[in-house]
Amino acid sequence: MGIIALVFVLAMAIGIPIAFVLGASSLYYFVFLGNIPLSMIGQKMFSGIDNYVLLAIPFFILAGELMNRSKITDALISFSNILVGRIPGALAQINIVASVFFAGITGSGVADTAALGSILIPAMEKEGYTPAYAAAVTVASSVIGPIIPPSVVMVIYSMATGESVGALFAAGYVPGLSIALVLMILAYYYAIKQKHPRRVEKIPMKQVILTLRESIIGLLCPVILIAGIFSGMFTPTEAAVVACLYAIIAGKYLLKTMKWKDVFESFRGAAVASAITLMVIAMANLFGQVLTLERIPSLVADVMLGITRNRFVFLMLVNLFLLFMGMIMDPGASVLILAPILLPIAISLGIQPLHFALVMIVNLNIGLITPPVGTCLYAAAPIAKLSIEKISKAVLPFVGVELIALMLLTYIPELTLFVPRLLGYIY
Amino acid sequence: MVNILDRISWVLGKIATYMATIILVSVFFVISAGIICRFTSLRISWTEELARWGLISLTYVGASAALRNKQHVGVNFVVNALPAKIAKIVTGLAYIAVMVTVSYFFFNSLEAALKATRIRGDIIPLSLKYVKLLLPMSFFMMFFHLAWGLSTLFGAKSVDGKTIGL
Repeated sequence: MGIIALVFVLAMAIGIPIAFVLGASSLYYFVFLGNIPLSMIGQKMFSGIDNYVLLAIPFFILAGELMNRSKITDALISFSNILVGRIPGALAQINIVASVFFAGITGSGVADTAALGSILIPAMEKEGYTPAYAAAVTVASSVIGPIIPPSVVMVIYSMATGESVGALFAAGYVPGLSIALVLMILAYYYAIKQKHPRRVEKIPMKQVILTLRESIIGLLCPVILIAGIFSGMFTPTEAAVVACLYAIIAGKYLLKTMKWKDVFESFRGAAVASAITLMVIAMANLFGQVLTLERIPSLVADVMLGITRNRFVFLMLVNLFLLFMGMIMDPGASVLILAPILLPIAISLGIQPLHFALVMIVNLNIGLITPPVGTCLYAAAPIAKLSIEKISKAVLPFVGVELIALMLLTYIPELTLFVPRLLGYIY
Repeated sequence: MVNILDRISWVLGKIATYMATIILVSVFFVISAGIICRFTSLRISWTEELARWGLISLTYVGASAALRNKQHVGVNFVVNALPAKIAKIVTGLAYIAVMVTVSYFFFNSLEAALKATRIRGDIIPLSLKYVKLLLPMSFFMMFFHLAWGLSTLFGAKSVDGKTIGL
């Protein structure tokens, strides 16, 4: 296994994309080390992705693309302005709150950075915020995207562990809102310290009603999506398709901001973007097979339980380990490889599976904004016209408060379990 | 030679992008049809299987299009920190490593597809070979994109101005 780890690290260091790092490492094992027929690779590449739940991923991404092209994002930003525009550091606060709303439409952090960043980073710069701060707020709030449902990474977690997607979605609300809250507190602190502007004038009631009318179309999307899943009317995949259908009708006929060409472009963008995530999943499945054949799950369990049998210490160790993994690997791949290994240990220590799932998901998503594989940083850099290093430095305090939120979620399970309990997913 | 490689890669990239788009649109309609039929008590059982086949096809065809557009995510800071000449060699090695991987995957998936000739879907009476053949086809396209990407390291330029590959 040491050789595989070496191949893995080396392949990653020389710039091979993560999907192919996973594929190449698995292939190395099958060719040189494993006593397994190679035809199994072809079979596994097919069966590893043959899962109906995974179909939700392209459609959650598509829903975000459609909403963005139909200018619903603009309406959500205006709505956020009404809600928090008078708080010091208004545009930073709007950025965070808009991320919460946008998170209810799409399940990806990168989509959040790209959609909101392209509007809010230039706007923040115009109001006197430094480009680094504007980019930092944007990427930091993007972490909320995959935590508040719908969430691509939760769908992957469900596939890896068999946990209910509905339960995971229900458990995501409080952690997502907690992160938004700590980010808003930090933005407020910076606003006071650095005298960031806020909206002074009141918005006329007529304008408020107009904005509400426009944004209600966007706000209804997550309601349809989540109500459909929680009521059992739709599977997550069907709910994602219904959300896309709704976004097309809203953009084309209600708002009249979208042409058929935009619809086609959205499909094209989502097809390729989702294939990148799906390819990582397919290859991670292959790599997972290697880990199983090498009995890594039981080895890790023995090591972990040898270090501690205290669940609080275990959770701390897991958090440290996952923070490191989040820095070097895509959250989807990490979830697929690590969740089946760590979850049984967590259960054996008496940790609620749903609680553990959210600790893992929140933790790995913080990796979206930490170098070297912080994909949100890469998405924000060209928008803010800054280097990854500069944004990484500016985002550090925000990562700090997100870690505080993570610790709260780790050691107060009820924060995560409250909503699923309320909805009857757990007792 | 380099120009021909560039052309082929560009055309294959376009084909893969349109194929992936058509697959996603088709899956969208298939799932929508499934929902409508369920609410109208009209039973159609093949939608789920067809949608799953679409997902598998989308994964590999779309991934080859993403490779052409340099959209796959990787760690570049080590290579970026190296002196230009060494970085070029390292990137060349990375291209070759992925080309070897993709070649293996091509043959493995082709073998798996040919073995599936007599296997049919659980509900749809169609040979799985046709779905599985999309995998080697995608790896074949990936190989061309990588070959062109490798050639760009030696100064070749793309017809659409894109830097291609990893």
